[in-house]
Amino acid sequence: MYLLKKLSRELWLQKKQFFAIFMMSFLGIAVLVGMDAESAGDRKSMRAYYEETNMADYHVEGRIFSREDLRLLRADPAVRNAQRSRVEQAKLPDLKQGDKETDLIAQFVEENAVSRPRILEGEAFDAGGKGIWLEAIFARANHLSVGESLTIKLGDKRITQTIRGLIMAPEYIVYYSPAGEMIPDYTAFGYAFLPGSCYPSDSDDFYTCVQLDTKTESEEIPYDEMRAFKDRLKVLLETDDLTVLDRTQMPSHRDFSAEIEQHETFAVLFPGIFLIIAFLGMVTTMTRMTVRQRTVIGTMKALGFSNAAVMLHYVSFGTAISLIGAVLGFAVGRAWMPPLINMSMQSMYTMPDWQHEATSLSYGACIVVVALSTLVSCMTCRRIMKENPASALRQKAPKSIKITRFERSFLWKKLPLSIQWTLREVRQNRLRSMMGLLGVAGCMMIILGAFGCMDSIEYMPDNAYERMMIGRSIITMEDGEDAFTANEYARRFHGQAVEVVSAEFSDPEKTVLKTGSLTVLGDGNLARFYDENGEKEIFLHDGEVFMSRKMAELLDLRPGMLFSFHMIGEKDVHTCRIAGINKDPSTQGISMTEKTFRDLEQDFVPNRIYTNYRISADLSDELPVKNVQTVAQLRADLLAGMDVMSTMINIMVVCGVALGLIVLYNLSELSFVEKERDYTTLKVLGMQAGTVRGIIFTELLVIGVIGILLGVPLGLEFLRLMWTTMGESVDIAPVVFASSYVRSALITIGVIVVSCLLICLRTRHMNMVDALKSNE
Amino acid sequence: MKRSIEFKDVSKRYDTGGEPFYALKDANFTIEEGEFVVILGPSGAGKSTLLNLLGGMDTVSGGDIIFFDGKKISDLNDRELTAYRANEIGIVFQFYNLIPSLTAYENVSLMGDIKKDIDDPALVLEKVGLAARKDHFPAQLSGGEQQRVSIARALVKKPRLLICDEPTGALDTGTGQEVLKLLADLCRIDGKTVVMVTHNSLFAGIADRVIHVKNGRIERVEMNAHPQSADEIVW
Repeated sequence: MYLLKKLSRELWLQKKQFFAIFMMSFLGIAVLVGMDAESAGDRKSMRAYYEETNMADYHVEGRIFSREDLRLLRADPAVRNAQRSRVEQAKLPDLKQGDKETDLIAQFVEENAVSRPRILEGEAFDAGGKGIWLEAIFARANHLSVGESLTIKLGDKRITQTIRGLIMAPEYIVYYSPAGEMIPDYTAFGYAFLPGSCYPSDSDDFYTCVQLDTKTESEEIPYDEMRAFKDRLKVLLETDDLTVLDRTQMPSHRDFSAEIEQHETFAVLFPGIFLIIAFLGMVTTMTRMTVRQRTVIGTMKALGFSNAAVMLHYVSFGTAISLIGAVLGFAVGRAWMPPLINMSMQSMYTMPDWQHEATSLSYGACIVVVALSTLVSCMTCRRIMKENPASALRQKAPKSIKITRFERSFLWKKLPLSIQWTLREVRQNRLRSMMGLLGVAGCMMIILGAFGCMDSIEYMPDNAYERMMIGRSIITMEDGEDAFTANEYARRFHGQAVEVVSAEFSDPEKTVLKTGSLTVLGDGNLARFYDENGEKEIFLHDGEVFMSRKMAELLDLRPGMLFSFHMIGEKDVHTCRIAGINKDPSTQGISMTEKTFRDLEQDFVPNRIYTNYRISADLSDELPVKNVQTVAQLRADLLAGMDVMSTMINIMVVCGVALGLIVLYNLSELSFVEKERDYTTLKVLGMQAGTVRGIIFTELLVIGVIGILLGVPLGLEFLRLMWTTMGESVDIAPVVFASSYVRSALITIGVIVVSCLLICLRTRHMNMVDALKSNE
Repeated sequence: MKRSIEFKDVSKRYDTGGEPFYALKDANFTIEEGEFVVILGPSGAGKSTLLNLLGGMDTVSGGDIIFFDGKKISDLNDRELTAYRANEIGIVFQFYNLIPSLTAYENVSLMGDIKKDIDDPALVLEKVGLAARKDHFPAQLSGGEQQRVSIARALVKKPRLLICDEPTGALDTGTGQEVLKLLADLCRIDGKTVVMVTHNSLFAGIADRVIHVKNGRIERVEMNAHPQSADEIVW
């Protein structure tokens, strides 16, 4: 009981150190749990949404599907359910955005079995009846409500139906406007579900897609199984002209998953580093505190306390504090961080709810933090415990250090006292100095890494639209437009015609298959390529194929090696040799010239025109043009797309500064407590308080400067590691602007100065009599 | 017949790499139950080593220490030594070694965590004259008061042997005298065996037995037929 009292009182007496341990454990766990709960919660919410709506596992596309086709597909043993659907780009003539009719995606479905809409208001979806089930956010943004009548235009045909429900649907989590904007504008674009019977056709032979629900339970379908299944469907329907898209090829799922993957990478890397630094700080603090209790431990042993009792008592210090820190960190991180990140997510993605769920990673981290701090206390105690009471009762003799050659030199004698003092301190207290150094380096590393993330993202549009595509506008042609029309536009705007299509790539042995983009370049020089480091420009010639760096890495291919590919929806498989590897931050796949493409006996049908003209959006009113985007708009969109990441980065910078401050202040405090008697002696001897403060400041500054220098390469390596582990479709170059080095260093120096000021404040209250007596 | 503690050829050796260093060599003496024993010697003579070995805080390199009940302390393992310290020994330190975060009463009561059968801490504190200061923390007590708490802490366990390492070393003469008197009374009135280490030869006067230690050896053992009272000692 009295030991418990002792524990609680000493926790209070040494509250600064214990608070630091608490904060390090708290912050480390809060950041990790917060990010883990957010990313795991997103994934869980996505899964729950998919399960509730029976999200399709595959889309079979490529022709008009008959009832017989549907029957055959349903008969496949792997298929649980299937339904026919057709997606149309529609317009709402009664709802205008300026002069233009509002865009709407109209999805006609025959049944309500797969990828069902989730009803938010109104009636349940009736696949056999009539009516429109409109996207809820779109309806609300345009003040449309259930019961109202709505006319939609499909080409030259008009359908007027009553709005019977407001919905959200699992295949529309990500906002994709036909105009290509990434910042959602729900007044300008939405989607709707309609029963197939509403489609303006005399027969039911208009369905262009079959949505399949398979019996596979796992989210990640093994590649071989997926491949065999896709091949089997082609045999079943006796055609090779079939496109079978699995979930990873469906845009909404692909992009939302990629976002979650990015968060998952963040959730491991950033907090991981965070936790390591916090833990190092805890180790030092616990070690020093236990060592300072040496004579008390000796007394307890001498009085007859057993080793186990003393050990348990001291271990409980570290365990209690780290446990409280971890538990509170868990609670606060889980409650506070996911909603903060999800605020940005909610502006980009539509989901029924955003759950927060801590995974085993979070629980594991808590256990590890508590277990490790217990272990550290145990080990430090054990060292004293091994000694007999008589020896433990004696203060440990100060470490003897040898005078180095440098200390005998002329230069040493010329150094000011503060520098001499600091150098000796560092030599005598290697562990503490090392931890201080790592604390500063870690702080610098996190802040530089975080700023580097921002820089890399900011550099992306510069890279994409100043170096890789140097035109001013991109014209996207309507689906199905022929090559002649596209080339006409290219001539009209002196542009470069480009065809971008989805394709599947594999190594020659077909052991790995990845989906990406095939880019075919017509005449012109607006599209540029850079080597695998993204630095030196490389030139694509006729007969050559460039593969993006990330794709080559995924397929384990190098220049000179062969690979196979086929365009989605086409049966021909081509084998080519890689002529070069190029760095592309956002599109992974291959590139070739029009001639190379034609040599593969393929028709070049451009679907984009890159041009140096600044083209007005009015051009999209012309029928063959789907939309026009200026580079400025694309740049803004690209940055807006990274908004969520910016939130996470800001959190990291704030937490990094907080952690750095705690680690550094705590180590300075430890150093101060241990050296207080020396400082007081200097004061007693007549040294000015300013000189004493100078000594303290110099020690911190020397460690700080070395820490900052050490933090730079660590930060760069950390940044590189983070981008290389981030999603298959992203290959962002780690970029750090000069201003970020300066900002990171200034913030870190700020952290050093603040902790120094806090310590220097203590020198004012140093009581010369008390301090000198206390060592008796 | 009175029981006794026996030191038989007790040595404590430290291997320092070169020649072994003997802090104590071939120590032979006896301590009778109920005696006031003073171990006297200059700094570095080996008297604290002797006390540590007697108190079970250190282990011998050679020889035997036999306690009152015939138990060989020198043969005890770590666990048994802990039990020995908990049950048989009361220790008073030069610098008191109180737990700073516990009050005087709590420091004494703490012994209840290691031995079930202890005296009432309040009564023991009253006995050492600290009843009024029992709720004070060590930092709020004078050196003499802290030493009294330390003595109370040692006594509350009802030890058979009270060992004191320079108990007046950190105190002024007046306070030191009070502490000395307290220890002498414990021996003379309560019949406790008290072993006190000191470098102050004036204290030899109050002892029944004086063990002179020099250079790690027992120089001589003197018996005092007529010990002085603590009040008579002035330094």
